[in-house]
Amino acid sequence: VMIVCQIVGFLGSGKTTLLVQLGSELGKEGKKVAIIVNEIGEIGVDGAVIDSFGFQSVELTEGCICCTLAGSLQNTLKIISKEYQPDLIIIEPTGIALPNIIKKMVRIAMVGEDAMYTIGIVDAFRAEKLFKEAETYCRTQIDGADIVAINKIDLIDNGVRDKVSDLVRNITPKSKIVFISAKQAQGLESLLELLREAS
Amino acid sequence: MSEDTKKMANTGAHGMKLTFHAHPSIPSDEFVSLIEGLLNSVGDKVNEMGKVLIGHAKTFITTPHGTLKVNLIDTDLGAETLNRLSTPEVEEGEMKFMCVLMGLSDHEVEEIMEGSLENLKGRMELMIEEHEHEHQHENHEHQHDEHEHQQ
Repeated sequence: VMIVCQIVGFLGSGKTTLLVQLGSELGKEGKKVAIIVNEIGEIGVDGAVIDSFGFQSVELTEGCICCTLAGSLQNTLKIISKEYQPDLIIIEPTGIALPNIIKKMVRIAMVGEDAMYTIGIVDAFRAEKLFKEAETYCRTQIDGADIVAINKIDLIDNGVRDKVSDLVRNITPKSKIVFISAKQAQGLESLLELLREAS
Repeated sequence: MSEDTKKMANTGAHGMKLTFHAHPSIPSDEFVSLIEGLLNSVGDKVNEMGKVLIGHAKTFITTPHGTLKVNLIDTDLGAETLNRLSTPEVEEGEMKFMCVLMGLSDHEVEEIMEGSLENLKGRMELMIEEHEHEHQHENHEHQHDEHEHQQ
């Protein structure tokens, strides 16, 4: 069984931190986890961060895998699935990627995945500001996600938490919502369950 | 796909890889403060342009004795640091530094980053590596390939 999971969220929402936490937990349980990380600049930072936690990631830079680097994503998926045969491939796109297009790109790559999941991540601390300044992206990135993780709950009070939860619920009513602090490894169980059950 | 999300999001980005050498070596606490200052300077420069920082400025530093990760995503929150340096002093290492900022061009982001790096020069020697690009600036064509470009 091979699962593909993308962790999608706006710039600075905590994708890399969440990826490291999920990858570490599943790795400890014996799952073979492969990581594809995409950065829009010509020199990436996230790949080095991920590798420093003991993973070996494939970093695709200087473009976005939902548009200019779509071909690179498909080739990388094919190589990883054939040569490494992972239980789980986690994709971390750029913070301005569109998840529905990535989903389509993965399907077209025909790497034989048994399921594909989308985890949308929302920065609760900055949600109000971001939805004001970059509403289209913030909405598109979580709409239709299997799970929306409202992150950085260690930085907000219950009032903000309720507001952000309502905001997310209005955008994507069918998505499961979980509250997490990726930095403090809190609330990750639902996300781990999704990936454990699948793989 | 013909759509380019970077253009759609009106986002500028730039990344660079540097090596640094400090003589004399820098106490770790001071080194962390310097790098946090580098990131906070990016936020300050965006604010000086009359804009709000919407995006991500980040750096990851590898030394022979551990790593340092510093992010800036919100100027109110300030730089966020993950310090895994295991030595009391830092002498040399490699730095990856990148910014993705909405409402700015690639060139503006590059200038902000280069301006912010100026603050480090009093304490360390910086060498930019793998800095290759070809793009059109506002008033002139600009093409260069700078390996080991000394700052």
